[in-house]
Amino acid sequence: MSETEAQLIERAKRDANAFGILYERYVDRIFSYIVYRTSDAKEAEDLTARVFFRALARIGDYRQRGAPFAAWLYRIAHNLVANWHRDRSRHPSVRLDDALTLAANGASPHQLAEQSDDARRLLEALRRLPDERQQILLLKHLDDLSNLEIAQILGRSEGAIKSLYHRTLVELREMLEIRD
Amino acid sequence: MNQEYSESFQDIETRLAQTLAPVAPAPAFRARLRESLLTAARHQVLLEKPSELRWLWVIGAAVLGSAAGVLALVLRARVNHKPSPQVAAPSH
Repeated sequence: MSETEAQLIERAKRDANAFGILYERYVDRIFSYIVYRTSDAKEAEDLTARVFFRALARIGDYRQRGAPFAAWLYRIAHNLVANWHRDRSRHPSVRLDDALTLAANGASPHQLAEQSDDARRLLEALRRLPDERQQILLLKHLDDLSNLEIAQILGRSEGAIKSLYHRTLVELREMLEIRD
Repeated sequence: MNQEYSESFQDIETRLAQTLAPVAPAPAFRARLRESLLTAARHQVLLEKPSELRWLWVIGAAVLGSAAGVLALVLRARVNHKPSPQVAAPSH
C-alpha cells in the first residue's frame, strides 16, 4: 500500500529521507511562485532555500488541519517574500526579465517573439495589482489551486477569494484595455 | 451582456494561463539544496534523539524512586510489627 501524504509528513518529522521526498515534490512549485513574486531568479533561489529550511525547522510542529501541506509551504513562502519586499522597500514591479526568460524555456524563438510583448504587458499589469491579488492570480494560474486552497493559504474564506478573483480579472482587463 | 462578460473573462484567463508558465529551478541549485537539506535534517534528527532519551531517564528515575519508597515503607512496617521477645513471667 502506498504511503499517504499525511503519513509521509509524519515520517518526515523523524526521517531525513522522507523530508527529501517532500522537497522533491514541492520545490518546483515553490520556486516558480517565488520567481514570479520577485522577478529575480537569484533571489528566488535564496528565498526557496529559506522556505525549505524553515519548513524543516518547523515540521515537528506541523499538524494536519484540513489544509494541504502545499498551503503550509506557500504560507511560509508568502511571509518570506513579503519580508523580502519590505526589507528592500521594493515595489513588486521591478524586473520582469528573469520570469519571462525562464518561463519561455521550451518555446521556439518565433513563438517567443510573438508572445513576449503580450506577456510583458500582462505581467506589467499584474505587478501593478495589490499584493494579495497578484498572489491569487499566481496560485490559480501557475499552480492550478482551487479557491478553497487559495483561501487556506491566504487565511480568507472561499467566497472572499472567489469574489476577489473576479474583481481582479475585471481590474486586469481594464488595465490592459487602457494600455492597448 | 452576460455572454460578453464571460467571454472577456475567458480571454484574460487564457492570456494568464499562457503567460504564467511554471519556471523550474536550475538542476544544480535543486540538487545542492536537496543535499544541504538532507544534511540538516539528519543533524536535526540526531539532536532530537537525546531529548527523547532525557525523558526516558526522567521516567526511569521516577519509577525507581517510587519503588524505593514503597520498599522502604514495607520494610518499616515489618520492623514495627515484629513480635516483641518473650519475657519470662516473674515467679512468685
